[in-house]
Amino acid sequence: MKITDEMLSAFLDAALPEQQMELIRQQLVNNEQLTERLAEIAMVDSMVEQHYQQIDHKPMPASVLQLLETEPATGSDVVAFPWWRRAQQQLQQHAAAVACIAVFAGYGAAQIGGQQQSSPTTVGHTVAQLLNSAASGKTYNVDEQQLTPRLSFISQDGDFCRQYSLQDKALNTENIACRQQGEWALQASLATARQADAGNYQTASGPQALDSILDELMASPPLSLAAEQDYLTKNNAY
Amino acid sequence: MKAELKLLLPALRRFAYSLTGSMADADDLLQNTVLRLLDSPPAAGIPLPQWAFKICRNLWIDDYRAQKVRQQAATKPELQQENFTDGEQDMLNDIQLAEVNTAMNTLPDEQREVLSLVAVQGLSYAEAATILAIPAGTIMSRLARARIAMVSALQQKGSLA
Repeated sequence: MKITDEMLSAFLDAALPEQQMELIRQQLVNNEQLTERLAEIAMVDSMVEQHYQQIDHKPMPASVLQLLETEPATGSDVVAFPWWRRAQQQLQQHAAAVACIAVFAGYGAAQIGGQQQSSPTTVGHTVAQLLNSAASGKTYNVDEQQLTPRLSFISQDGDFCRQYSLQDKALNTENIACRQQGEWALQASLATARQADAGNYQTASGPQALDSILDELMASPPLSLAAEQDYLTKNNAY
Repeated sequence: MKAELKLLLPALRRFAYSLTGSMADADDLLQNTVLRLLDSPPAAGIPLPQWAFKICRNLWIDDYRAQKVRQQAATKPELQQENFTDGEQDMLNDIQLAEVNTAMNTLPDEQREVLSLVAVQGLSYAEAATILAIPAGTIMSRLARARIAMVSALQQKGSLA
């Protein structure tokens, strides 16, 4: 039986049936040429492995390590984010820098009572008033809380809907509410604890918490600020 | 998943290096792979390493091969080869290892990726077959052809006696 290079290669990986493995072992005992050929093939793996291990001596890129500490950077042009998420970012960039920092400052990672409500609940009167009038990307004081509308969109059911955050000293809630028959009905809400150190900056993990709900609800890209303003004006006419 | 992915980074990076042949390109590929993984984590029941290598390989196929990064490395290996060893390795060894990359750049992509998975990552034929979505028998034949081509290329350059 002729031992081919392919067989020797598989022999190296013990990937042949035991009968063939044994046959090659026997031939290697007496066939010096075959042994040399096996050594040559085996050396390839060794050299290839040795060469590419060199990269282990170079420090791991900080940018990669950072990705695994936090959420992926939303400004990346490598990953194709869902269209609405890109639009969300654009809307947020429209807002003043100070407003953005206020939006993102001090989110805590620990979730408490983080269940997402699926059954609609009517939102409070003061919040409803702001949802009817306040532009996205800015932060508004409501009672002892801060409300930040993040974006507006039209739902699969044709309702005018908004994603917004509500912050107080202890909690941040990310919410989605839709205007149905003149009233704002809460579609989803996720509570997270705020960090004690409010100076900590964290990337937009808050708004992303409800991504999956947005995926299900949105019928089309988020409204532009101008289109949103049209809807707000119409809503005020109710 | 992030903690598990952190542990996988060195192996994933080595794989990226073996595919691209350039440390700079490898780190770019690694970063894109991590970004993609965070955006598209494995479905339930799919091991993260298997998914990660698959994504890394697919990104390389889609992006890096299209950009002909490897061809540039093949024609100008002196521009791509960087030595980050601490100087303890002797120069002859470095030159021999540099020839490995040049030889790898001459391999067809389908042979290179198989050699990378088996020789560099130490995966079994079955594991490599799952990642590349090809039969284990194809892994065996491609791997043999890759090794034989490497022997030939390294012998021509005198790096393999």
